[in-house]
Amino acid sequence: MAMWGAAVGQALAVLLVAPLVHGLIQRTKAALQGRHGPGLLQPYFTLIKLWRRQDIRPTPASWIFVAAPRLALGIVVAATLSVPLLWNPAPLGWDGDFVVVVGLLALERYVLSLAGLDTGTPFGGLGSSRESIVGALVEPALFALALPWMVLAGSTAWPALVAASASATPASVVRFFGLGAGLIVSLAETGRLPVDNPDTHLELTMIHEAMLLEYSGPQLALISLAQMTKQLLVLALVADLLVPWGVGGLALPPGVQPVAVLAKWAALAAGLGVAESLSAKLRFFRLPGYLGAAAALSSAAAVLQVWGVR
Amino acid sequence: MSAAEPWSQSGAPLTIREADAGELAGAVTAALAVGARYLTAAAADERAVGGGFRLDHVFRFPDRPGLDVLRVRLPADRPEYPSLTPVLPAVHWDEREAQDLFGITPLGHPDPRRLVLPDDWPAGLHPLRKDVPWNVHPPCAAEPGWAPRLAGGEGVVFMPVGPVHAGIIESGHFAFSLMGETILHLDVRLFQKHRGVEKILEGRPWADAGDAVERTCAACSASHQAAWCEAVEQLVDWELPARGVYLRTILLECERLYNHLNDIAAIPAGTGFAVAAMEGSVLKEQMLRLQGAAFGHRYLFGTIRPGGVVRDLPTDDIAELRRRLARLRVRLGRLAQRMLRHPGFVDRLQGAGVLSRRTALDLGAVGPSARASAVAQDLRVDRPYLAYRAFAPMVVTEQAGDVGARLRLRFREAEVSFELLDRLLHGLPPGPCRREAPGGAERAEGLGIGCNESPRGANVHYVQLRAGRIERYRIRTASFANWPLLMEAVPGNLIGDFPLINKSFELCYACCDR
Repeated sequence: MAMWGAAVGQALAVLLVAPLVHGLIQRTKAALQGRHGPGLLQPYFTLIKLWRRQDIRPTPASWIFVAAPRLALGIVVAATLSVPLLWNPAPLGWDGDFVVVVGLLALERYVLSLAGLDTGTPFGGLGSSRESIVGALVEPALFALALPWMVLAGSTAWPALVAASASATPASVVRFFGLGAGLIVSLAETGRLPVDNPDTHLELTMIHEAMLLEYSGPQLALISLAQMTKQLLVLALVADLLVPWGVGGLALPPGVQPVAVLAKWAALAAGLGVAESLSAKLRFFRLPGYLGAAAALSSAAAVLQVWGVR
Repeated sequence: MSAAEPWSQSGAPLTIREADAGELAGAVTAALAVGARYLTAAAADERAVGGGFRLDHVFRFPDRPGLDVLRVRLPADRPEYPSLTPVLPAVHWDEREAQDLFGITPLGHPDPRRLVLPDDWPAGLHPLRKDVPWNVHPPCAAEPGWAPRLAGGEGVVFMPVGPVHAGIIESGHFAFSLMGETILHLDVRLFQKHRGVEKILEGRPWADAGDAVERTCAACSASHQAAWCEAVEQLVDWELPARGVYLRTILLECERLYNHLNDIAAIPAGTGFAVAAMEGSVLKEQMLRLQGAAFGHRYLFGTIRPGGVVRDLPTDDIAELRRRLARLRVRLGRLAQRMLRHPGFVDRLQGAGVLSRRTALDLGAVGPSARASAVAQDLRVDRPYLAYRAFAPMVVTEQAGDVGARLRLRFREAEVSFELLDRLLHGLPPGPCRREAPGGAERAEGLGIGCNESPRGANVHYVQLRAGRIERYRIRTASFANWPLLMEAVPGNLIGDFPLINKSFELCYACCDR
């Protein structure tokens, strides 16, 4: 019972914190562009505003269009439960598995791609097609990110991976390669520059947003929340693999530990905002090279790990 | 028949030659063979004064400063002539426009579809004919029912975009034929918000045209004002005071500068490079504020009127103006460094939206879009007017014809404008900034043509007066000339690059919706 309580508590906490992380990224970008920018709490206001709005559906859309936002949010929240966010292991009863999380992220992408096709508009189809290509490229890169620690731990379970990373040399070639790959993967997975531009109004250039152009009101609120939660999940996931201290390996007092982890997320979110501001969007057919670089870095790190290079 | 008409502002006569409809294509071919550049065409309805329809084509010959008008008279009952488009592709839209607005048929036009009138507009109702009132409101269908030209074949997707767009964009309907991510063909339906500027000007005294003329396009308002003034001043032989000439030139250069800053900011915005886009927007805003303070209007409305300029620049302000411009110049230089040395950004620009020199010449490209495709033409130098006669700017060209070339060209031209502005402000002569109209001006008669190099290229105003009132006013804008280039530059590119390519041409919708 206590375990389920912890799981529900963590899920709620994640949903509550995710918009704040998003606000922080937006704020960082605004500062670098010389703008005041929206307040940190703006994502909450936007979600509330959307939630209160009328529900509109395109005429040709089927039940998939309605089910997709709920499914997407559910899948993302389920994924957060198996990743060690604040504690290692995660509160759910079993040892969450890395492969399952990668699979859940792919499933969420699949569900939203279906919804994009379901609208019957050329934009939805274009977005779904692009998102699927990005997905096919990100997935191996994301998987490769955990390879060095899988080698070290001899397992794909989260607790073992986090422990392995935490116990390895903090400043090693393996970790530096991993950090480079992690940055690319987190930018791609969260739909940020140079892969996708989350802030554009130019429909023709969109990837993720093009799939969702027909969504509005409460449905869009659910999808936005799912997207923000996924963003936090990706940050936490990359952090767990590459800078796990706080979650694993560093014994902090129980009162300090959650605050320390939140501060780590904030630093990573700000870093994401800075990285995005330095970039221009890549031409679509350059993505394989860009994401391939992440997979190559991670694979090289895994090879070094096998050879025992620090 | 040849008749010398009054002297133009650039000190050269306007030559009008008449030809038969059958001889027109031959006469144009001969003119092009000796290097004539096409400027504008204008139809007019003369049935009320005992004639039929009149069709003028205006050319500039390289060896003389004046302009040449090739005039054809068409009968009232059968206004048709062999289309000029096969020998002069640049007139293809002018011919379609005259067909819509006057009912003059260019026989054998390769694309005789409607251009200006909506598809549900009644046949035979031509709004610019004198017997049609300006406020005619025929019943229209709920859906205009435009059938765009599409590419055919297995797997080709039709993607309609617009006419309503996200962001602050005007109305235009784009029909893309896509094969995957690649654009096979683009058809565009512009002229969605025709305002009837030319129609409402008819019957007004020439002096009352300013408010409508300067609103043709807010982004090149000063250029339109100057073109109107030149046409009128030419007709009434109106001498400008030296200070007025300089100030008018300064206004035109300021307009070029703020537009180039705007267009420079728009390119990184198209690639999501927001940091550079914001810095560019800040520079543009500073330029607008500077204009608001110095000339009384951020977008330079109401600054240029026949006889000179409306508001003088106090001598005390000049030094401050030069200092502020110098600071902007430094910041723009830094922005250029940051943008043009960003590998990811520059990669997006290379090879995107290439306009070949051949196409630019054939379709009569003007302004930066032409110069970025290695066509060295600039009215400031080719037909010097105002203070450009003393301060000839360097004509900048680029070779590549892609988005990158158009961006680099704007950076370089902005630099030239800064230099020019500084010299003009430094050398500003004393005296009055405006002179009264010469006697009899209110009864002026005849044809005047004003043209200048706006930020987007040649704006040409064709003004026909009768007893001091406007009988026919045609405005051929740079964007009207350049829109068809987009349809040529886009096929073969990725659909995701379209906004970037579109912005690099910086085409104005309002300039079509006259």
